[in-house]
Amino acid sequence: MSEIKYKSLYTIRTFVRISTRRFFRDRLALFFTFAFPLIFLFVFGGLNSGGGDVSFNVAIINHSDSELATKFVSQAEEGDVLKVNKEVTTIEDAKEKMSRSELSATIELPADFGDVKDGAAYPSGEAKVLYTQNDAQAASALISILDAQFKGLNEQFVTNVTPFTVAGEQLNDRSLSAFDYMFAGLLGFAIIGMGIFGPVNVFPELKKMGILRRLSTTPLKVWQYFLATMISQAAVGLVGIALMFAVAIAVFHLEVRTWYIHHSGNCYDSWYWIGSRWLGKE
Amino acid sequence: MVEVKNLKKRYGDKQAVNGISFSVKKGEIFGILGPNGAGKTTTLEMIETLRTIDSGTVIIDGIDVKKNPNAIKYLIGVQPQTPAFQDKTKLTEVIEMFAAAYGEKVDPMEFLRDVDLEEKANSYVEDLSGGQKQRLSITTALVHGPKVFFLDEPTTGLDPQARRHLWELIEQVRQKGISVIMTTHYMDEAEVLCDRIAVMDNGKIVAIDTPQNLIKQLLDRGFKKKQHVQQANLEDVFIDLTGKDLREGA
Repeated sequence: MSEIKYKSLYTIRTFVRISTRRFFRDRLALFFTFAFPLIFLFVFGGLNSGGGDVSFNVAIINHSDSELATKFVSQAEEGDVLKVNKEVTTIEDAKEKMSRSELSATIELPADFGDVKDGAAYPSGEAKVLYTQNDAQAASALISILDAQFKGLNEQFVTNVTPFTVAGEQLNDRSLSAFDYMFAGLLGFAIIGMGIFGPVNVFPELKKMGILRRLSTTPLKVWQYFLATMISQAAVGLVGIALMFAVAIAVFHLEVRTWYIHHSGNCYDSWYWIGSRWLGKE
Repeated sequence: MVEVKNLKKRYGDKQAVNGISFSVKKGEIFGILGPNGAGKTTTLEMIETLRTIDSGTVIIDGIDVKKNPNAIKYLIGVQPQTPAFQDKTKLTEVIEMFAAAYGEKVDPMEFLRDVDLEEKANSYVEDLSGGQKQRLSITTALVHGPKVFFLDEPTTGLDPQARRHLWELIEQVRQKGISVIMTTHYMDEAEVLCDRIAVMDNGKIVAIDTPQNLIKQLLDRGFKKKQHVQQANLEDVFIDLTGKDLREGA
């Protein structure tokens, strides 16, 4: 490597080293680069984590004494899908709680639910799902679930032949959660945040302070200074991104799929090629 | 060492520098005086390669500034009017960075010792006083061993102790054989420091000589100052009361 290249490399290396150190001494820059995106990560991660399990806060008002109704209530309380609020025993209480969105819906079992009607060979009844306008979506899902459960129950009493059916099968057991999708957005937000303390902000400030003018009396080239600043900022950015990934994986169980590794491998190959050409190596 | 011939610079309708010529010898301290807007800073900035030269020539150590500005940058050191450094940078790092700008690797402590800032080596630049910043700025301008050193109003805003300390530093620079070209608004400073002075007004040099000769020429023209015999002035009182030594933080 020629002396000029060596000196140029030394200049860039020194500026990168000192610029990076300076950055890590600036508490304000540290907060907005590392802490601020992490705060967002915790806030949105907390809202979106939960493993994708679906459950409904409901109250069950049972007016029936039938064995079937009692069994339905006890199974609902034991199951994972419904979180039954046992404190609610009247429709009035349930309506009040639903108006405050403390309950997604209320399942009302009428007095004749589970009784065997005259002339019938099996028990019957109609469960009523009460809900407010705000929770229409949740109630709709709940109705579908109950409908499926009742279908199973009906088959115990009446045998139906169903020629066409549909069955779903999950191919992998690690599907992406809402957090996994949201993380990409948070990462973008963090990168934009880093830009606030990046070259966009640094160069006008240096010009205003007269530092660029002072440096222009030295043989330092603009591209050397620019490159050094960019490398320093990129290093800081990578630390910030790594921190985001570490927290996301450790705390919110982020699913890291192959494309991350694949693309980072490509980037490394490209930079290695550029670096070796510049240094005159093969 | 420095040869300026018929140097000109125009900003729109204003002829900022209007055909000035002077030369500076090796190891000489050359002062440029003049009122605000006289063209002092523009002249310095053209010689320092910071501004383009409209016409005329500037030769430093045999190299034409206009033709080879990059080579000139290795020959000159520049002390701006207001030293500016990036915050959160240690003094040692400032020296390292400026040396690296020339592709040089230096021992920062050696340079800090020269300007009595050794104890502040690990301080951040924003914690320095005005005088300390000026001294740091001087040493950053000398890291590459220049042949000509430019100072633009170096003692503006400094207290008397810091000013005198800076004068001593400038004197030490000259003793190393470096030519010094400086501008100042303080006549006492020019009288104490400068070997020769150019007085500029409206972009032209109206007088150029040693301070003693300029004073003699004025007296020869019949100038008489109202006699006011006083063996000391207020600055002497200030120095006597507060001491000549440089203070911590000065």
